[in-house]
Amino acid sequence: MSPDVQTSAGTTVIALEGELDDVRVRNLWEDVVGRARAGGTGSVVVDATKLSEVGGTGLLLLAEIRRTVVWAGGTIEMRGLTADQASLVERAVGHKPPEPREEDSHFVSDVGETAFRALDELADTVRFIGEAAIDLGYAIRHPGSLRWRDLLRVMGQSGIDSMPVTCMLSGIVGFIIAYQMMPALDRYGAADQTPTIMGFAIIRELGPLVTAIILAGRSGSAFAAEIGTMKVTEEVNALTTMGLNPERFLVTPRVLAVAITTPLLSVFASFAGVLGGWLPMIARDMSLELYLQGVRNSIDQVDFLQGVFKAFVFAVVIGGIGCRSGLKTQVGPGAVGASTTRAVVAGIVAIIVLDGVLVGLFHALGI
Amino acid sequence: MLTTAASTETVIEAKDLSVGYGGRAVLTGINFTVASGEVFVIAGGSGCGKSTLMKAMITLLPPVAGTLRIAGHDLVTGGDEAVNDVRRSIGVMYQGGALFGGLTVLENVRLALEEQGLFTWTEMNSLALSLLAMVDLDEHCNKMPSALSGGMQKRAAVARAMAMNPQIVFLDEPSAGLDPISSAGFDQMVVRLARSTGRTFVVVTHELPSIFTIADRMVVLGGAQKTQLAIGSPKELLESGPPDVRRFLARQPEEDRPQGAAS
Repeated sequence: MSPDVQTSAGTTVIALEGELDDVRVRNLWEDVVGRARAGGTGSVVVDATKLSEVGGTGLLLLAEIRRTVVWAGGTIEMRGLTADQASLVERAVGHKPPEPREEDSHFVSDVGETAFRALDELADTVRFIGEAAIDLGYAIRHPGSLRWRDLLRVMGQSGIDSMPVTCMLSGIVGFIIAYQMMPALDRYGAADQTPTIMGFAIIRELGPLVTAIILAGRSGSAFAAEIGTMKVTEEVNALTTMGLNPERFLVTPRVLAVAITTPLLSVFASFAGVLGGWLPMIARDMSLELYLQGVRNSIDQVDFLQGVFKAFVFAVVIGGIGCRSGLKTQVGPGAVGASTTRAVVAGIVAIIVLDGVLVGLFHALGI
Repeated sequence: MLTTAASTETVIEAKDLSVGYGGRAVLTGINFTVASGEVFVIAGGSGCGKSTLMKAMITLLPPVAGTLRIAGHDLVTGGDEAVNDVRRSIGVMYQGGALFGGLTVLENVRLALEEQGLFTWTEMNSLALSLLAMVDLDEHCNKMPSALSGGMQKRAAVARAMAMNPQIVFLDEPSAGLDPISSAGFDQMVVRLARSTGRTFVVVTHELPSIFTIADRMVVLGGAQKTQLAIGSPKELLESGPPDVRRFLARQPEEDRPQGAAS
């Protein structure tokens, strides 16, 4: 049923009748609001006396009519509404919402700002890891200041609990590398050099790297989630106001734990990787003893220590990044998740970049 | 109610204080003093800046301008030293309790004592147990915080806040999330602790029954400019405070919003 609209002497009278249910409101909306707008600065009367029922959406239509007229600078009168209905509709006052602000951004400036933010973030992360390393030194000199229970718990989680998955992955990586390399070496009749290459690749590089990637996924994310949750539940604030330094209390035991366990774990991972590399050699009738002899001949103590040192550096960096992500957790339902993701991604990127830097450094130093 | 005689020592002094975030004031014109042994309530509607003011008082936010003196230490001019001194003089109960989830209730309370390094292990356990007894939680001392109800966690947090023998105990929204009975029980506990220990309690709340039960004096925050609306005892303010404050204390919502000029 269309509304009855009459206009005379600058006054538009919109008479509505029947039931104002959802379907009818949808059909009427454009027509009625358009007519109210057409009234301009004049007077609009909405006659609702013949309405049998005004549903929730019906009231919204009346509010829209009222708002439209008031914004246009006109006057409006509603007839036939109950006092409660009129009070609700009258809340649709003539306050225009602010215009949405035009995005004051430009591709070039966005890229610049993002780059500067990333640099700030990098500088802050380096500073944090440096402070964590200093705290680590303090804790080693003053063992009484350590939270031993936390240290042992995290050592168990990041060391013993990580052992099976780290060794398994490292073993598979060793197997794949040896398997893929053999056809290429066969072309030059050098398949018997596989143990030499495996020794270098696994012990100097892949053992520590696979261990660090697992560490970033398991412990880095766990640190960010644990500390992030503590931040959200104000436990970090509680530590601060109790005069306890959150860095010393939360960061030091975690970073120290991974700094102890990761080099050890990396030794096991390297051994598993070397063993994995032997599996394709079974087809070539190479005995394990001969294979291991080849590996041993290819590397010396410096290569082994290089791998262990890398694992130690990776552990401090991943532990530091994980803890920092947790302490930087913002508020909101997705905050802890975002911190965890940041810890894992930043941790993996950092160790791979750092690995490149260390390779260059060792090469420059001739080791 | 506790006495608030003029001769009593002032433990908190705020003068022309502005507090906010990143150097930008969100709450200005704060002027009050709190006497030793008082239960002082910071009240106001949601979003009026109560929590921001409390964060400044417990050293989590640096004041933007003015003077803020807690337990004799000036947080505006005193630098890190004053911040550390204030932290040694206060205890805080956070809204959700903020107990450390990996420690038992007893360990949570003992932690503060451990860091003091003054007592032996046995003494610390006895002290922590006594503190828990003061909040009726001694029989739950070996439970993990997750095994306690919300009200019990808050009571344990009060025991932890009092462990370092603070001059001032801050309570952030103690009634939030509690049923009326637990809330009333908590209020009685606060009054009992204040009277028996003589410590100063600063309570941030907007719960009117709590305010009338516990407050010796209160400051009401609010207004369009977010400032201090009034200070006094709840009874005084209800009877002769500014209209906004009387409406707040009488639980009367604001009058209907102004209508459009052209209606």
